[in-house]
Amino acid sequence: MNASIPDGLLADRSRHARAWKAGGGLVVGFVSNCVPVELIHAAGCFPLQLPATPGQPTPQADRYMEDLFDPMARSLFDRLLCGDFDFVDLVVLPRAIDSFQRMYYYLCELRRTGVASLPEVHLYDVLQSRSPSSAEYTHARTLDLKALLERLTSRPIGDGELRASIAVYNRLRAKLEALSERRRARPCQLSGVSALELFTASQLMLPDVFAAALDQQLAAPAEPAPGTRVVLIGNAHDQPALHASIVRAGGQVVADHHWRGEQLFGPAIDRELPPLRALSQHYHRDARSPRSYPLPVSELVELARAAGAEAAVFYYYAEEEALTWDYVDQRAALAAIDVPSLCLSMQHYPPTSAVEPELAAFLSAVSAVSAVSAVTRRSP
Amino acid sequence: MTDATKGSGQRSRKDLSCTEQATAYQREFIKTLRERVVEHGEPFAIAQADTAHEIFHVLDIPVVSNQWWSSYLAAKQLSKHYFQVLDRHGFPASSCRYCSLGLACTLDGDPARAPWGGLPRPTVITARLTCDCIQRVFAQWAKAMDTRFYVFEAPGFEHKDPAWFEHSNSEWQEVYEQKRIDLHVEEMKGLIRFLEAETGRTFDDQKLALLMERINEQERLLYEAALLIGSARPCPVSIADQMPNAMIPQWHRGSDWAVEHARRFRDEVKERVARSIGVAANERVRLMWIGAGVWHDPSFYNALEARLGAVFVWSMYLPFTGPQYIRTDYGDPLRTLASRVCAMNEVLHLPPWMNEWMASEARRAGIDAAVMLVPQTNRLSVSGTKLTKHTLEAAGVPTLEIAADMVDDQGWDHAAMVEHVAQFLTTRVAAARSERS
Repeated sequence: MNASIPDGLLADRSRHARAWKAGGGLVVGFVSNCVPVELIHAAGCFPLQLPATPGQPTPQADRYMEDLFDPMARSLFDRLLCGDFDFVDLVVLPRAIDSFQRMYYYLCELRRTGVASLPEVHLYDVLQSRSPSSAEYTHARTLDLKALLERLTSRPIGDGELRASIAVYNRLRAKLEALSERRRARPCQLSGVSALELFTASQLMLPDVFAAALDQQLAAPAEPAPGTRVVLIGNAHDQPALHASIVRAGGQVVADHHWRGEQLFGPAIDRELPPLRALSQHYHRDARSPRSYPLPVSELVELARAAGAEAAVFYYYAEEEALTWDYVDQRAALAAIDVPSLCLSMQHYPPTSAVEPELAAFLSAVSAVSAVSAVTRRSP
Repeated sequence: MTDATKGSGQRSRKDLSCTEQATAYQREFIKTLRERVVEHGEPFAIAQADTAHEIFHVLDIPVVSNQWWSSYLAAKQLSKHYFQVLDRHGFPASSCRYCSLGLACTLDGDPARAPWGGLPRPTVITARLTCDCIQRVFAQWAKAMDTRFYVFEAPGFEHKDPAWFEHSNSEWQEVYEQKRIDLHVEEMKGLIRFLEAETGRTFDDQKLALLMERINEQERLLYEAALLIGSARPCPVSIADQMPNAMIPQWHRGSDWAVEHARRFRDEVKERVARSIGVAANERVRLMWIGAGVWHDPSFYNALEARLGAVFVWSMYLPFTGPQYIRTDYGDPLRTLASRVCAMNEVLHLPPWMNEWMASEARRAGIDAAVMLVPQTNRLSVSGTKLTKHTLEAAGVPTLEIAADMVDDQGWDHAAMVEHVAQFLTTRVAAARSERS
């Protein structure tokens, strides 16, 4: 149970944003962990991670979008075409995830040809290879986004507002990190289901409101969460169906290595740099996406170690064609620290309980080996 | 691209004498590559098709396009084996396959199986980051070949000119955006610095300027051939002749051989037009082929000519020479070159560039219907196909999507696919034509 998530918010994910709009505010919808939410917030707009409803039929999207797109992208595309986000004043999509980047062009085309009535759509053209030219290009595009937001709101975004917004989000990061420490405690003190719900809710509410609510969560008694400790890797999860399946199979997700989990906000933004430079540096260098290059496998190993992972589950959508290339190296790196793994590829999203027998067999085997190791370690 | 396939057990039919010359030239180039690189220590590069091969040409570094190598391996019926190699290495089956056959060939490490013993270790491999996969595949490949992977970013594209193909030769600074061109120039300079340091050679700007002029000459010849093919009745050249004559010179663009080959091709096309030679005995339907070729079964195209008088008048490779390669140089050849490559992939696979160009081309070439390859394991290649289908059909061009892969013949049934297209032609296309008449 998450004390910090208002009742019903996860079922009606746009509720706070719609209320903000009804009160005269502007709403900027975005997707991914690679859009500078700090800038949107500094502009005085409500930053809403656009909520998908994967698993639902997508008849509008299916007319224009091919089969191989990320299920969340397909769902959002459908929802946009259906007018579900007609209260949104601007949609910002990232260049950092292929499906969303391509969706941007599709939306622009449907706007151009008058096929659909859509909000204005902007591509945040963030580049993520490590070259200085990519960094400078990204900085210029961050300035473009700032200018666009200034036009939208008819007011400039000052350095002071930007610094304040960065501070708010850094506090949010710190509180989420404190909660993650509970996951990493032994025994685990925050379930994977609750953790994922918190990550999800964090971008459905205003950041300062959510940060204050998190204080209640931190003040509440810890929630013991037993089970074999699992790090979840691969595609993103915006609902905890797989986390619940893993619990039923005898495990507990103690770390989410995907962009809706631990990678959602990334590390704290540098407050020493000029604020816009700090933002562009963060999204160019520190926000992890499929386009991040090079992507050090050491980050996964560090996360698995910090979380005390006993097992790893790789979960890939059937539509995934890129992250799967990381699998061999990631699996080997985890094996080197004695973390066995299970690969579930070509999977449905949202996950179904059909994966549970395989999860249970894997986690049961891991648990048996751990028990033997524990006995061996205790032997003289 | 030119050899027997398992799909039908047949080669594609080649009508033009210059087709054999092109394939023979490429075979000789690859055959001597190993000798040049391994025995004489020459540098060598592997590059994605949408990168600036011109840089390597100026530095006299032989370059092999990954797409050509993939298509060749597929035509040699090696895809199945190499996909099994990827499976054995543990890569999940959904991983994108088009760009990874070369990696698989390297991982296989079997020179007896690989054509010409496989590609030698390159000085560099390079790609534009046009999707989520390519940096992963190429990073793995660079690791397997113990070489450097040089990355070009593929930034977003804000300026969307639906009529880009009408302006791209001369107004390329607007069409492709200054900021994107600037970035690409910076990245090309980085590659040049790296290659100069690696090889001890010096990049000659004057040589690039001359090369760019020669490339313009070559591309004008190829585009002239495309225009001839589009306007002639009957269609004088089959798709099986169009593809190698467009692409093999492209891999050597600007060289004396490539320019002269383009001229030979143009002349042969011209002659066939003058003599009213058609590729089908009884041409009845003019088709547009959208997508890469079915490299594992090139005889697929010929089968429809013989049976239904259906000729593939158009595939992207030849007419693309006009809008995407020909460039007015305003005194800075590196910027001019950047404009050629910095959106090469985007305009072929994203709206509004893809759909508007193809609809315009369908009008130009008098197309009756389009057949569109829809690969099931490659988002980049499948992108834009539905919107393009909508645009084409709105323009009166019935469009058939066929679910198949360029290099993976798994599930491909030559006879069934020919029948599938035949059904489309005899029902939807026939109905559309009768409605029009």
